Amino acid sequence: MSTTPTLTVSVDEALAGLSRRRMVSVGQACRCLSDVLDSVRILSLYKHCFPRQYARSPSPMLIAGDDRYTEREYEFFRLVNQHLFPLPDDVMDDWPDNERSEFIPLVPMGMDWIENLDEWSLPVQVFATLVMGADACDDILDAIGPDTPKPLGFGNDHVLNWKHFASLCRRAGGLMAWVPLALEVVGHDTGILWLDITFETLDACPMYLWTQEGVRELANEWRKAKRMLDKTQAVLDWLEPNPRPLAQVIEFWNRSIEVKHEQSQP
Amino acid sequence: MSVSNATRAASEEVLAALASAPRHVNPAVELWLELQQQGPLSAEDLMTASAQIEDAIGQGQAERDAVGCALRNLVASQPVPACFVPIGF
Repeated sequence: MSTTPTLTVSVDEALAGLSRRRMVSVGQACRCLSDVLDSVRILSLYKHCFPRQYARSPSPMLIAGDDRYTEREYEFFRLVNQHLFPLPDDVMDDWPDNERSEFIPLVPMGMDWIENLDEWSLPVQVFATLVMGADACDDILDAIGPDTPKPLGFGNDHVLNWKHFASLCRRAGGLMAWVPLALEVVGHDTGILWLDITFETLDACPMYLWTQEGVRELANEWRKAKRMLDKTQAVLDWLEPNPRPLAQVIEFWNRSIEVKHEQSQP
Repeated sequence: MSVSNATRAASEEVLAALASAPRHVNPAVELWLELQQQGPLSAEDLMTASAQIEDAIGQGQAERDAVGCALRNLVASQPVPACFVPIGF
């Protein structure tokens, strides 16, 4: 006697199951699994960095396994931006074109005056002129006040004795002591990634993976960067309404230019 | 044994080996299909399975490279006229 097999699923369920089992190439499978792994790494970081928020999160704990970020990942990015280091706005917005990346996206946080120096405040224009070794135009010198010395250029045979310049500023006291640091920030020469990269140099800067080490390092760097930015802002806020001390900065600068000593040949 | 018979025996041996080879699915494809079959993927489950996923990706890519290499070797092989027509061709 023949027996009819019992149907345990509906046609709709069967079709849904079959569509889920659509055959994929090895390349596609590896890409999908890599996307899953990326997502797992980011959510593991979320759990590690913000355990309470992770536990309380109302977002689904599901991974799509495709190149789009999940709601919970966006939640993590917003927390990173709020508590650890800045992320570009487009990473935190749920853009349809926002494809995942295994690297942490970096956003320059220094003063990017290269394209539009004229639009920056007078102190930034003066600092940028000094660090570039460029000639200061008369308008800038007039805005500082009468008898402002012209900054000396280096030429081929002169260098700036940075230690001497920093020492003169430190001895002057007050906010003048932070002027060398402000010059380093304006000149993208702090040694801190966040302040030294610009949109022009972004492609050449080191890449950080979404790992505990990567997040820790960038968070530490951002803490240092914030302290530098705060001090720089204090200097700029001091000089902007009353730029007269910029004449003294230029004077200290000029006193620190010295003849380059040729290195003796061995 | 004549050359013709020796060639036939060798060919049949190769065909038999191919026919009796166990069925195998690339580990990356197998795991991805298995995960899809489970429906929505839970982050917590996947966190514990991340080592397995990494292994599947590594093995899957290695197998794909090996198959690609074998195919390139086959394509680059000089054609040799057969002395008989294998059954099924």
